[in-house]
Amino acid sequence: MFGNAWIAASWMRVGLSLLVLTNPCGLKNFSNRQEGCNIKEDAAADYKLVGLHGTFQPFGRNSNLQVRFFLPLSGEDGQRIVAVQAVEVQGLSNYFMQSKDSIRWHEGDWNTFAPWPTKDVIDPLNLFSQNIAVLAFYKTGTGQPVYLPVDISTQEIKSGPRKYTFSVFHGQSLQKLDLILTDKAGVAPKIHKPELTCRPEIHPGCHYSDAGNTVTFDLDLSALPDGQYRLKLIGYKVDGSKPTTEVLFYHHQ
Amino acid sequence: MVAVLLCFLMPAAGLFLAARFHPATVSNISLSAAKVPFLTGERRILSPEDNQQVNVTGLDSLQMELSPGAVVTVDGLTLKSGRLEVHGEPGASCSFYRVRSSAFELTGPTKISLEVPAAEDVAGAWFTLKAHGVLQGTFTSRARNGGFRSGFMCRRVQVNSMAAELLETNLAAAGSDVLFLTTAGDARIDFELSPHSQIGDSQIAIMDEVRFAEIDPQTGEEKTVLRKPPSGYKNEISFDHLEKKVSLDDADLLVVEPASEFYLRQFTVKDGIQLSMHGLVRDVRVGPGSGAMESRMPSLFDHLDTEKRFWLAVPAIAGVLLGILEKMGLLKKNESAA
Repeated sequence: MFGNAWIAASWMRVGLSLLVLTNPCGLKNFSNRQEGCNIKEDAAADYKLVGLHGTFQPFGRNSNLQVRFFLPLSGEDGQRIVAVQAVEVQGLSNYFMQSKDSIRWHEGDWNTFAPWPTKDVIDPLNLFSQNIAVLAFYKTGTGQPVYLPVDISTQEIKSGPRKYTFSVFHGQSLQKLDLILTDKAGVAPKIHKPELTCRPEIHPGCHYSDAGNTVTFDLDLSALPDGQYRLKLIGYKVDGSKPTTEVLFYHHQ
Repeated sequence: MVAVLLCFLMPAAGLFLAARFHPATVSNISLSAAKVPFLTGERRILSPEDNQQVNVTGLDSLQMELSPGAVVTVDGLTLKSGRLEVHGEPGASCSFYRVRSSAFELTGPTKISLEVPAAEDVAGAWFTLKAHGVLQGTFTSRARNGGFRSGFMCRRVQVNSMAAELLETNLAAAGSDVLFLTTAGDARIDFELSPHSQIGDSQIAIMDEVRFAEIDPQTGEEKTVLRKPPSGYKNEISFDHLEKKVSLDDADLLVVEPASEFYLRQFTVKDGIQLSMHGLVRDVRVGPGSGAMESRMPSLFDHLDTEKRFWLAVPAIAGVLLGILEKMGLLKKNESAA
């Protein structure tokens, strides 16, 4: 009555049902975070900073990650919301992680976000460490986030050189991206900035980076004093328009 | 009385179940889409192609076979190319100008997404391949054409184990310099196609569900990636050996769940991605939003209906046989009825 094909098909259905049950997609609740597959709603169309790293130690499967960042004193900022977020740089799985608001952070001090075991979501999605971007930030009453460079590791980290790696998603194809860094007083400190452009001299319609991609660049602030800095990003499109944005971040040695 | 009721109830129950059971069916799916994401176990993907520019984001290594005397610039310093080992750091990217790309080798089961940008986003014809899995390919420089010559530049790399912000060079004006590329585990390759591009591929086995949707970064909602098909193409599903055809609205979401032997039979890039898929599918769901997806698979009743001539032939043949048996006196008459 029931042939081998029917039995095989039934087993396949059972297997697929189990696969669906173990699929880590959708956001899951953990004690200190939500993690799964989603995209945060405040993603911007033109630009979105997705990663700001000081140190990033590559990690393998079954690791327990720690995210360390310095949270400055609130001063006149008032009530703050502090969060740690992670996404994929090249996203095929729509990976997303966000810390819970219930975590108590320490102002004027280094903070560590942990535990963050990769076995929960990162390993089942087969994500590679090079493709994970992490952010920490606080938001004040004005709603503008101030980003806090993070050190990511599986063990305790000592402070190293403050050369920061920025990962910026952009929604439009760019020929060139200019970086303008200023301190809180509006003064532009002298630091080396990478030249982020394609080669219009050999291909006038060239793209430095294509729509929907994420560009990665370094800025070394090791020689600069602690404080809040403003990074202005000016993109240049082939049609001459210039999508622009600004990112605030706090640098601490 | 019970027997009469059963005579109605049993066929009704059978028909009810037959109308609701959707067996796996061989399907033909023709679509125009802006994005085609799938998991494949194929060893190669994409046809060779002449490109104006290729951008690779996510580089593992680059090996070069350059013409004698070629000069490479590393962070402003010029080097004789000799033997250069180039490895990518996280976030490494390379741009290649006027090169011919080979097919790309896949090193294991790979998640692929074929994409074209929204028409209003970019001038020129761009096509994107994203991969979760390592790709290996070759770029060969093309001969100089007027002011346009081949070249490349890479960022965030290590050249002979030394970190370099920018590596760049012009390739031989006569062409034929060769670059061997291996991508990182997650990579994106953007191709600026030449005006008469034939880029595409065929017979790619698909191993998992294909979801014709993308998540809108503004809302987190799923949005369709189907497009209005160009003239001569249709967004349509047909089922082999059945008369059922399903026309698809390009505003709907579409999910295809393969059963076995399911293939991306062919795709080309022309006013979007034009693709044809074929094979045994377990389910095809269509809907205006992710919460309102409905199966469009033919039911068991549809299958039986298609085979109605076969099923009608059964009682006819049985009647003939019974008649023959009766004539031969091999059927006992019911004495009580007589």
